[in-house]
Amino acid sequence: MDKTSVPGLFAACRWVVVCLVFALAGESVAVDAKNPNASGTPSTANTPDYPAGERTRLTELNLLSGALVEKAETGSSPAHDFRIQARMYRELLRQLMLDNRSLPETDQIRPDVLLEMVRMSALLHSAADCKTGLVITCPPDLMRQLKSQQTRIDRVLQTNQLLLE
Amino acid sequence: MHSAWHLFFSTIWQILSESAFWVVVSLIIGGLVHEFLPTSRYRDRLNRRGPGGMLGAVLFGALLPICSCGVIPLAVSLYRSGVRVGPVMAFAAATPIINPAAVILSLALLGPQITVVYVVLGLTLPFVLGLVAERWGERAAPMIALMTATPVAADCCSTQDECCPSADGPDPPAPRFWQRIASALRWGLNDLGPTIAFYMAIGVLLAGVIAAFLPPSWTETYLRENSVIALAAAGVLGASIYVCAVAHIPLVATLLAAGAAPGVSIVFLVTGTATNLPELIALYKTIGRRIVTLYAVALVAGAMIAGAVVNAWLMPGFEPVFDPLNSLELLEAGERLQPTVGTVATQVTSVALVGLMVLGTWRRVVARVRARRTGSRDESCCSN
Repeated sequence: MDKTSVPGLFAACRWVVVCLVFALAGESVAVDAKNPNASGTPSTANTPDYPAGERTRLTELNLLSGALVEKAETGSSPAHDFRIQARMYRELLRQLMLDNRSLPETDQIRPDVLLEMVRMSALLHSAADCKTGLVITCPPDLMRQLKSQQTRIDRVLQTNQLLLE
Repeated sequence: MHSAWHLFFSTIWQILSESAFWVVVSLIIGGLVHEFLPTSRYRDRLNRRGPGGMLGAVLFGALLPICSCGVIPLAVSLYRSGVRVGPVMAFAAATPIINPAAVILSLALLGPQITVVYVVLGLTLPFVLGLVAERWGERAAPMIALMTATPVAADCCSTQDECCPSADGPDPPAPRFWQRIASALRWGLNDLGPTIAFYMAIGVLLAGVIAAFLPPSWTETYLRENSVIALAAAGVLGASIYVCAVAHIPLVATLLAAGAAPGVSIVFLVTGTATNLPELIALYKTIGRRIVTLYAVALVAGAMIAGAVVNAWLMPGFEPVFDPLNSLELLEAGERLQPTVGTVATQVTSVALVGLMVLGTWRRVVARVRARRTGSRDESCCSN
């Protein structure tokens, strides 16, 4: 089942984020979310065969959070942009979870995976509040947690074969 | 070394920027409390003997969204307005530990079991701390002189009429309402402010040094263990560093998800939010050494006992997994409840707080020089 056909403004937002994330990451590839075979990720017997649309969205979210963590680390990221992107991360995550609920139980993303992203959203919100003038400057302990949370999300997504390659 | 300097300055900036607004607001409210509370019937209510007054102080503190630095001026002004030390310390502990936004965030990120423990501990620990302070500390509490602009001996009886009754003579005319407001602001910002800011500055510098020299992995290493040493380390570390409850909960949630013991996490959460070095030093110098020592020891010990009980209850096999969508909705609700302070207000109040710190340091130096010249000791006529 392809879940990329979210109507209206939200779908537009998503594609803006995708473009933004890939531009930030220096990637020149475009993800073809409509083609389930595009990822070429094999599914094993132990992990559910997640729809490619869900994997695409998780990959987008992961790239977005990774880019935001990198931005926070620079100490010179504009606070306004950071806040908007942290908000976008949360809204994309919310939409993903709402759509996830409507999937058959066997295809649903595990709650522990989504919870890791909820925690990341909370940390990004905290980071967005850490402003020095007009730029984001995270305190050291928050920065440490942001990085370790991003590493944990990477690991969880890879372990569950939820990332597009 | 560059990294250590960076950590030092960023920690100082973090404490200043997060606490400055609430410290300034608290100084203003503290001035009003000092001016109006002594003549109000509410002081008698707060001073009620028995658990009633303490319970009221805890519940009132639990509703305020003020951090552990912001609560200092309020606690000191309540104390100097004649409120008993028990309710004052209960209020000083309850205000930063728990507030409605923090409870909702805890439910969102830490799960129902940890939240129940957090709420129970957040309400009972301040109550116990108040009882401990009242039982063993009240008689030792001196009224230490504030760093006023004028010499202490000349100024004391003009600003602290509650401890220095006026000499015989006709009663002066009652001041008008606006005169009392001006007097309240003067006391809060000009007398209490520099005094507290001076001691806060010492605490903030020490907190910066700790952040600079504490190994980054130390926290996570200790929080993962389930031992008495880990509980004690989390308690002492939590009591030293500055964090606000709402900002601290996401950090504790990620530590918990990374495998930290739930008991150790709750100790770190409660002691971290309840107090910090700037607060302890400021209260130590303005309310009394014995009370604050008792307060800090009882806080860490109480949190450790609660942490050990939580570990015995939830471990092994505790996994903080719950409905993620519900968690996100609660997270949003909690964040909405937390008042946000604008950039301009943060910067203006940060500059004001630094100014108060400099003023406090200057007055301290002048008082020392003057005391050395005259050979007198720097004590208030009101100290006992």
